[in-house]
Amino acid sequence: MIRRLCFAVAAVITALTAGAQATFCVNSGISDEALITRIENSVNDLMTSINVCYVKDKDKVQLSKELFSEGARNDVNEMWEGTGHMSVPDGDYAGPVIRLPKVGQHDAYEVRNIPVDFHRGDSIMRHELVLDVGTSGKVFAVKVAVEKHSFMELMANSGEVDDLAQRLRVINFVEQFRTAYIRKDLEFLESVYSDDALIITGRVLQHKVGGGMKDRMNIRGKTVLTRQTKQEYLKNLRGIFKRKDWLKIDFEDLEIVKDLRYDNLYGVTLKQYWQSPGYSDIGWLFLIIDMRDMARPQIYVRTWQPYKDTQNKGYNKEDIITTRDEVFELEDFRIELL
Amino acid sequence: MLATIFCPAAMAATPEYAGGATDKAVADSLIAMRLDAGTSVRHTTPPVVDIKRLVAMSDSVTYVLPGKRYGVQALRSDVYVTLGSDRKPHFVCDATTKTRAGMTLSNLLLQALPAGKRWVTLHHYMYGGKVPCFSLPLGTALDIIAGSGKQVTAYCAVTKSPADKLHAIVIYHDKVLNVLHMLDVTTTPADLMSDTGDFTALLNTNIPMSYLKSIWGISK
Repeated sequence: MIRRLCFAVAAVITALTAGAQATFCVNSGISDEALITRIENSVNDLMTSINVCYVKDKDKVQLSKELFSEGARNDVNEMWEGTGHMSVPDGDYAGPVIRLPKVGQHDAYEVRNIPVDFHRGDSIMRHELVLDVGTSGKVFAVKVAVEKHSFMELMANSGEVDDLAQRLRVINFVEQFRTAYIRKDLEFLESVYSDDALIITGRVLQHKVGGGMKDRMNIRGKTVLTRQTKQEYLKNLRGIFKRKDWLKIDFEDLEIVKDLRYDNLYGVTLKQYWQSPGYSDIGWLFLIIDMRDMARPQIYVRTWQPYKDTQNKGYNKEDIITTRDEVFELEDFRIELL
Repeated sequence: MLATIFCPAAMAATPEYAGGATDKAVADSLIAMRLDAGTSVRHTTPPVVDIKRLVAMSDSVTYVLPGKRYGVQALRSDVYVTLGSDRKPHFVCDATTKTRAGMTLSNLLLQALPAGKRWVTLHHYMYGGKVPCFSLPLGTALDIIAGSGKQVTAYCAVTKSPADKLHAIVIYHDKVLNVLHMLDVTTTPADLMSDTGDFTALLNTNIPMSYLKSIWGISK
């Protein structure tokens, strides 16, 4: 009892100098008093050393070579480097000691319930350290315990995995959509546009100047929007496919937004770079896609708005016709799924 | 004329595909041909377990060899082991509880455990809305999807499923091409533990990440 008290006092004094108070004692698992003392000594040395390093903002945790093997010292310092900073929160902690399977001729034990805070910027993550110790109390490994039932927690949080998987299927569909234009695959495009799809195409307003010669003005907001049916759009597209020897279409800045009301309805916004013989443009493409049938997603809305007026001979690379904020969004359309 | 002066496509990153495929349609077909032939060269070897890197789980019996994670917390390349009395690691391979079955499924899909004679019926969601169905050894399918293996990292998440089922998503990320394949696997605990067990899977291939800006949006 006196021994315990003395040790606790010593630990508190040491911890106070470091600016933190954390102590540890063994509460179950072994009855050998001498071994308990040695283990507590090592754990308290570890907690104090971590806090000294944290308070004094040192690069390395200084651990006793007598109490910690080289491997254990490396474990702690790798942890320190990996996390940036860590500290042991104030408190009197107690934890069990568990006998491990023998390594060679030596008994080994595992000590648990040693809290540690990993500091990353303004956030703190609480973890538990696990120490492997020998009969001398010397620590030969320091690890971070996986939280209790963590695998089950990962499974419980799998909703975000299912969500991610569906969003990846959206990207997979968008890439098929891009490929279909390059391949001039009208059959596929006919199948993915819903029969009553809303198709809106923007063009830069043209002004007549001088002797009636057309000129395009790089004035923001001077865009005319044209509405087409699926049949009208595909008829025009068929003509383009016939006239152009090749098409090169690239996408950039793809953003996916999931509809709050319908699980499988997504809005997709991206920047489209269209290139063909004698013509090129850059525009904002917005699609509303129904992903209920994974094999055959349906497009309900397609809008295209010019990003830059690349057809203007006096085109200035810096001139933007439609900013990102002016691009259509999911909220701009009312979709009712049956 | 304008197109030759101004080349907008040069600004955007065009996705690249494995095997010299010119586009997604060709790249998907190459994988489908391999699945149809049902042959592969095994590239993936079980991970080497360095005991010093193991992290104990709270049951004091199971350890995790920490890997990397992809995108979300649950999608990981971790493998699960137990230590024998000789401190030698053994990959978790039992279905005594749903958690242990999940760890076993993850170990199997990440090819830490051999697939044996387990069989998979696989629906391949290809370019053009085609969904051919292939039936082949699970190990062969995993090898084909992992491709060369050298530049591909596999991540697995075991997800919620009814009591009598097991479900997992495996993502294969080709770091060089920045392209993903995604395998969506379903089986039962009994089939998992049978050397000739049956699995079903949905496969999406050649998902480009190169032009993605934001994936997690939700409408207002």
